[in-house]
Amino acid sequence: MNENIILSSRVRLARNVDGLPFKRVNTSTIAAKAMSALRTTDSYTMYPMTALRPIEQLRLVERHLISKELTDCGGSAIIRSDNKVSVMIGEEDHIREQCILEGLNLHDAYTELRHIDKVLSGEFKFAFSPTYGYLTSCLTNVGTGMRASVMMFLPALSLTGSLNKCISGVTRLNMAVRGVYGEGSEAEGYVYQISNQKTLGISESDIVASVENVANHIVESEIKARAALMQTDPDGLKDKILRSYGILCNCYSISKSEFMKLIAFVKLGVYYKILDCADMAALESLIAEIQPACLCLDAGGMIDGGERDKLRAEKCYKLRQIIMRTGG
Amino acid sequence: MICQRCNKKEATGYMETTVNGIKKRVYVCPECFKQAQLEMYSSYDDMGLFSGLMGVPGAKAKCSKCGTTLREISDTCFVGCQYCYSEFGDRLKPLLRNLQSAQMHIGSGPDGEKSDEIAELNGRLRKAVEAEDYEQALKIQEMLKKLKGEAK
Repeated sequence: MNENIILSSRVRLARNVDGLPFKRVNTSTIAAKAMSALRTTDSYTMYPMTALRPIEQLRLVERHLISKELTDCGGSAIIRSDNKVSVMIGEEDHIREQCILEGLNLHDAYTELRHIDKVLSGEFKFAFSPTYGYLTSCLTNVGTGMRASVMMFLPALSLTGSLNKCISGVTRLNMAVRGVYGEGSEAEGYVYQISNQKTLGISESDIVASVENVANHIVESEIKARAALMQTDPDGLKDKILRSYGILCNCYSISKSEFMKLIAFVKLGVYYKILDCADMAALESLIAEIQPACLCLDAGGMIDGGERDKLRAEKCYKLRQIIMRTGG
Repeated sequence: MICQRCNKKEATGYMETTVNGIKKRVYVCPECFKQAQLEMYSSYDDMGLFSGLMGVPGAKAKCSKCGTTLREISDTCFVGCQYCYSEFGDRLKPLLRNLQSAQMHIGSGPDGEKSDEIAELNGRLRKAVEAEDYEQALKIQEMLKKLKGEAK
C-alpha cells in the first residue's frame, strides 16, 4: 500500500557487443539480430527511428518506452506488445534493455530483465571484464550497467518545502533525484524519479534493495507531509483542491504545465477523500492522453500549441465522469 | 547548523574536497550544494572534471584502438571503446573512485548463474563485515574462493 505515491518502477541494463567501438557503429545489424532473438520468446515490434514521424517518436518518449537520446541518434527500439519491455539499440550503448512496471516492483522488473538479458546474451557476446564488469560507453554505468528507478508523486513534500532536505539526504545515499524524463528534465506535476547512481562495486540485488529502501522511506515522509499540509491550513487546501477540479472541468484552453499542476491537486483531493475517484486507471490514462504527442496523433498530425491546449481542455471534460465531489 | 558557504541558510548536507591531500568537509544548504556542483561541472576545461585526475601523468595518452585520450575521458566521462578500460587500466581508477566510489565489479556476469551466486555471496560478505560477524565472513570468503576457483 503506497497511496499511489510510487507510480512506476523501472530497471534498465546497458550492454555493448564485444569487439565493436561504442560510437559510429552500424546498429541496424545489431537491431536485426536482437529482434530475431527476442521474437522467439514473445511478440515484439521493431521501430527504426528513421521510419517514424517525429511525433510518433515523441509519443514513445512520452510513454517512457524510449529515451529522447535515441530519437536524436537515430537507432531502433524493439518493444514488447504489452509495452512493459523495450530494448533500445544504438543509444549511448549498443543495447539498452528496460522493463517498466506499475507501482513499487523493482524486483519483478529485474527478474523480467534477467530473462531478456539471457536471451540477448545467447545472440551476442557482451563486452565484459572481470574487474570492471559490463563495459559501457559512460563510466557512470560501468559494472552492472544497471539503473533502477522509481517514479514518485510527491506533492506534499514539494509544497511543504521539505523536498530539498529529502533530496540532499537521498543524494548522500548515492541516489539521484530527477524530473520525469530523466537527466536534466524538469519535475512536472510534482513527479520525481529516484534512481541509483552507483553501478560499480554493488550487486544487482543490492541496487534493487537500496532503491526500494529509499523509495519506502520517501513514501513515509510524503505521508507525514500530507498530514502536516492538511493540519496547517485545511480550509486553504480544500479550496485549492476544489478550485483545481473546477478549472479542469470548465476550462476552454489549458497548457500542459497548468494541467499537471491542477491534476496533482485533484489527486491530492482523492487522497484526502475530498474528491471521489471511481476509476484511478481512467484518471492515469487521461493524464497520458493530454500529453502533447498523444494529442497530435489523436488529431491526425502536428498541431500547434494553441490548438493542443483547446483539445486538452476538451479532454478534461471527462474528469466529470471519473471524479465526483464528496460531502467532505 | 548554518551553511558554511552562504552563512545564511540551514545546512542539510556536506561536501568533501581534497586539496593537496588535505581533506576538508564543508556543510552546505541545498542551494549552495547545487551552486557548487554547477561550478564543478562548468570548470571542466580548465582543470579536468575530477580532481582525482589532476596531475596524473599521461593525460594525453591515446587508446591504441579508438584514439580516445585520457583527457577526453576525464572531461566527458565517456570512453571510446571497450579497450579503453584495459588500455588505461589503473589510470582510470581515480576517475572511477570519484564517480562510483568503487573500482571493482561485484555484480553478475554473462556466465549466468555462477556469477549471480558470486554477486550474492559478495553482498552477504559485505553485510557480515558491516555487522562485525567475522566468523560468518570467513565462511563466506571460503565459499567465494571455492566458487571462483571453479570459475577459472
